[in-house]
Amino acid sequence: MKLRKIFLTMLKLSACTFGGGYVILSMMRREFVEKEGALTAAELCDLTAIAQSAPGPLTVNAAFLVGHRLGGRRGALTAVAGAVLPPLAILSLASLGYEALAALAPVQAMLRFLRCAVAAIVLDVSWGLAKVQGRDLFALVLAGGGLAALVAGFNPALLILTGGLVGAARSLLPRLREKKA
Amino acid sequence: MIYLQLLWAFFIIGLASFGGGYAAMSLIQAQVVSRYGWLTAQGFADLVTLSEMTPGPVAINAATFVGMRAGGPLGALVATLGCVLPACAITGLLFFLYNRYQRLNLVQGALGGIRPVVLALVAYAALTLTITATAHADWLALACLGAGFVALRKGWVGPMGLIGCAAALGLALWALKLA
Repeated sequence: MKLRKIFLTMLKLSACTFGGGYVILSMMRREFVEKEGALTAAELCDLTAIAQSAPGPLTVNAAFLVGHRLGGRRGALTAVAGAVLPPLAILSLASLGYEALAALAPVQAMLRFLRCAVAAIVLDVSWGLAKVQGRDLFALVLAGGGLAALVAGFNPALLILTGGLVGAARSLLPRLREKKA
Repeated sequence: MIYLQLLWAFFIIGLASFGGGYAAMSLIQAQVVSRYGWLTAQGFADLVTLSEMTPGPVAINAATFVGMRAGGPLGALVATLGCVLPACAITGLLFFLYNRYQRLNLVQGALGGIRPVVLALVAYAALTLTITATAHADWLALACLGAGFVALRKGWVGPMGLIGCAAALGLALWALKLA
């Protein structure tokens, strides 16, 4: 994909991403998987896994990976630039006069429904991810356990590490069984 | 001097923020309010609200907002860079490793364990967002949420469209109540 297109697409996506990184995943799916066909849903799922495993804003990581996939190293940097520019510009302006902005009643009214939209979007992302993982019982059990752990206050970074270790250990099992037999 | 501090503070924030923006919030508060005093507690609360109203990851929003107040436009740029650099570097590294070793059974196994965890993280975020959005028995919000979810699933509207609709709905309701 052309650099210019990557930059403009990420700019557009980032400018509409309210409420957190997961929302941009939904937009990326719609834009890059469904519309452009530049990625498959499974590829996006894997990129999501890598983006989550790295620290930093999910939006930045995801932009980096998708940009890299579409246009190499320059694509990665272009995508990140496109993703970072909207908040950089908007927040710079907003920081100068945010008190007036926050006090406006229409903003409060809009926020109420924006929160609903964001929740619906993230629910949709969850559903999409669940579909990709399919009927793998191991995955479902691990996801369920992970969710319970998070509710109990388990550290997300540790959870990712645990998941990786459990998965890696599981892949070693067949070899261990061979050695015993 | 302030620029170095901003760069460092947000480098730390960028480096340690796993699991999405809301996880980073407590770290941002620790650095920006407690450690450097660039924001007051009220200022931090305002930042959270502002982050909801504006697009972009909360960490970048925080970086720009705090950077701007502490050191003008250059401060905003420096803080944002500080946040973005560790993210890109480590993501790049993980991606390189992934490409190089992805055919290894062990790596495939590990990914097979990480994917469900990612699902759990997103599902957890969805859960907390839903609870926050429908707080205080806001039935209208719950109905809109449900409708929005169905609309997304069926493909009637995309995420950007849904956000636009939500903003329009809020605006319309506000205008009607006043009119």
